[in-house]
Amino acid sequence: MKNMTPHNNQLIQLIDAFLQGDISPEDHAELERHLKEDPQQRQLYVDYMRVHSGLSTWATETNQSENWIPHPSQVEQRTKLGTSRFLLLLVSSLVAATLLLSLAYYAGWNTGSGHEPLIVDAPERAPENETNSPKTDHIALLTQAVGVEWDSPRNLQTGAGLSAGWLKLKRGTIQVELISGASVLIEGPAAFELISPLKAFCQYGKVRASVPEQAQGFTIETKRLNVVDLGTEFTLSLDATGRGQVQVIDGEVELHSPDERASRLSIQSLTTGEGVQFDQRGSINRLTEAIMPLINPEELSHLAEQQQAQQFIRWQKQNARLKADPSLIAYYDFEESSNWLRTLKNKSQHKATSADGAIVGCQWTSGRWPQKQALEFKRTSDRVRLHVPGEYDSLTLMAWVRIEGFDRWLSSLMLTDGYNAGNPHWQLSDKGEIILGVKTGPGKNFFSPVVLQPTDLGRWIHLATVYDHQKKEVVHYLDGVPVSQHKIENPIPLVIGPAEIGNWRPQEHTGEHSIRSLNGRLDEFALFGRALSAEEVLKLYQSGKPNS
Amino acid sequence: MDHPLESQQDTAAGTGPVPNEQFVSLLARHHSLIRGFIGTLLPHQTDAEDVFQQTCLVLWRKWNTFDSEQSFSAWACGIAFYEVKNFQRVQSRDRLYFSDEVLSLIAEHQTNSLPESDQQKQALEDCIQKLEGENKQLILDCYHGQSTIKEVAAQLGRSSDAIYKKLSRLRLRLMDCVHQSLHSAEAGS
Repeated sequence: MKNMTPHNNQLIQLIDAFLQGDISPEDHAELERHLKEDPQQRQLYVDYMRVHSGLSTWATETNQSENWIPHPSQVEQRTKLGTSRFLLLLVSSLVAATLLLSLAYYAGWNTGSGHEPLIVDAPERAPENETNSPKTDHIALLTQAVGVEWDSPRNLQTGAGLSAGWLKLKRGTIQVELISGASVLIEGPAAFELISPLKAFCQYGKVRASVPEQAQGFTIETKRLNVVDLGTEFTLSLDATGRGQVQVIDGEVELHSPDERASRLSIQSLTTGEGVQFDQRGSINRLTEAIMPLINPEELSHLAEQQQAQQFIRWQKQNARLKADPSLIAYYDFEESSNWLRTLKNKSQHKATSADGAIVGCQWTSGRWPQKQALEFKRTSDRVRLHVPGEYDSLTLMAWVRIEGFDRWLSSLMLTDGYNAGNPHWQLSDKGEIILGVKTGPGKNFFSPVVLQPTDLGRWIHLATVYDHQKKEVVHYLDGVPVSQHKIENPIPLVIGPAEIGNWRPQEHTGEHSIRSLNGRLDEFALFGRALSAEEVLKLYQSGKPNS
Repeated sequence: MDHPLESQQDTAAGTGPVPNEQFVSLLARHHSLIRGFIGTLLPHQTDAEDVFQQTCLVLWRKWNTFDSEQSFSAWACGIAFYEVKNFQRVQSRDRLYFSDEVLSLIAEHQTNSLPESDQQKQALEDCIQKLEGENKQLILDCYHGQSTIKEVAAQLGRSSDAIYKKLSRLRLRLMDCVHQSLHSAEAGS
């Protein structure tokens, strides 16, 4: 390479003045003369300017990466940096920043590699990487779900983040907001695939898409044609045989052939009120009369409210029955007559001692339904203090919880103060494992597999863990379904005593992982002095689940 | 008016709003090259960024004139070059820019080295990572464009002049570092 050190100082000085904008006309002429006459000087200029320009690009990308969560599923990344920013610039002007930020709480999720569970005092599997690097592939949020029966194993709930993939409904209606700003109502039966923030595929179903300016170009593909929205609203309905209709409620859409070779010729555009009918062969005819528009977001939200009211009533009935269960040691339904009393009442009718909880720090908020009360655990000092006397051969712990994020490796559901013989520790790991620790000599931890996924953050989940003295087993349940079973070698009676919900008071534990505060909400918590059967757990889940 | 004709057109006019995949893929692969090319022709990098964005729109509008036998980078840099000239023409006269002749010489000078630009970008990034934290921060502060050099200098309790000199030394150091790493890569392969 040419022009290694020593550098031509005069030229660099001239370039610097040029960059600073304070170059005199004489010097400017001098600089131009150098560049015109001497190829070597030109080379030096180009090299120096490439550094200058490269620094600017680097600074911009570095600054952006600080407040920008990458979305790998948006498009295949073909270059290392800046690609997605760049494509968005072209495709639309902006991504709805608020939605991006709302996804930021998923950042707490840690996806390390799996380790064999150790049998230790306090679980000592430290996560490999404490710096929870922001990682989410969510491109949408499920914002409403009414009367839904999913045609997939996973039961998604309102509030769940959605990655690229299929949404299959047997029946019911959902609303999905994509991070591009586009929102879609889908009426079942439907099979709908989210591809990117600006692209989806509809196999069949009824869809109503609302596309704000930011998301112009949002496209729904079908086998026969692609609908490209140029702003505002359209409906698409498609049956399983491939026949369907597109109608523009407001604004303009373009219909493209999915066959790229023919694309330019076959673009049709539709404006407000216009529509087409098409069949599996691909023939397209203008609609002569308007079809009935699908359900609109307002109606959906009204239906959602009705559904919530019914579900709340169903839960209230179960709540009344549960209070009478003689095996309940403590039952907190978080329904207090006044919010200024900082007491969380034990609602069990058969309680021997009060076992009321003392609320420390936590704020009142809404629970599974708007009518339901809940406590919010946010700060590391937030907790509910309990004292549960007695000794129990078998124990069932149950909670309805909405986790917002895993701040640290361990998040407390209920932990006894310290960790003494017979003490149970019920907690979650940031990987998504349910853990029951029981202090027996060295202590034994029963880890469920990783069952909580990033989509489970922000939604209400039902957790139950049964410690069964007779069957010599521990069973973890998520949403009424057993997720793991563990043998207990020598079951010992459990003792709770002083304990905390949503936090931990270590006695002599000053080492790592001593902060285990929960980041989320709780709106029901029960301790049973017996082992509940699988049917009982399922019933508790079913009568308390927030979505039908 | 001597505004560039292209920039006056409506985006939706010529082609549809959804970029064709080949275009997006080529642009994604070459965008740092094009951005770097523009950056050597304009002293102010905020200007360079504006021209770059404008260039992308023009590239998209003119996409149907692109002949796939051609090199995309040469085609794109050709268009970028005209965008730089257009930009200079409509800018206020109180700033000094290069004459068209010098501009073409600088652009021409780069045509041979365009393919190397990705390696250069990588080499520069590696060299930046080797800098001390405070120098990296200084570059971020000065180059990101949120605050002026004057403000940065005031914050650090130093004169603007000292900051300018410091930046100049850092650029020279990075230029040497990039040279060296590209050179050793050539020798090694």
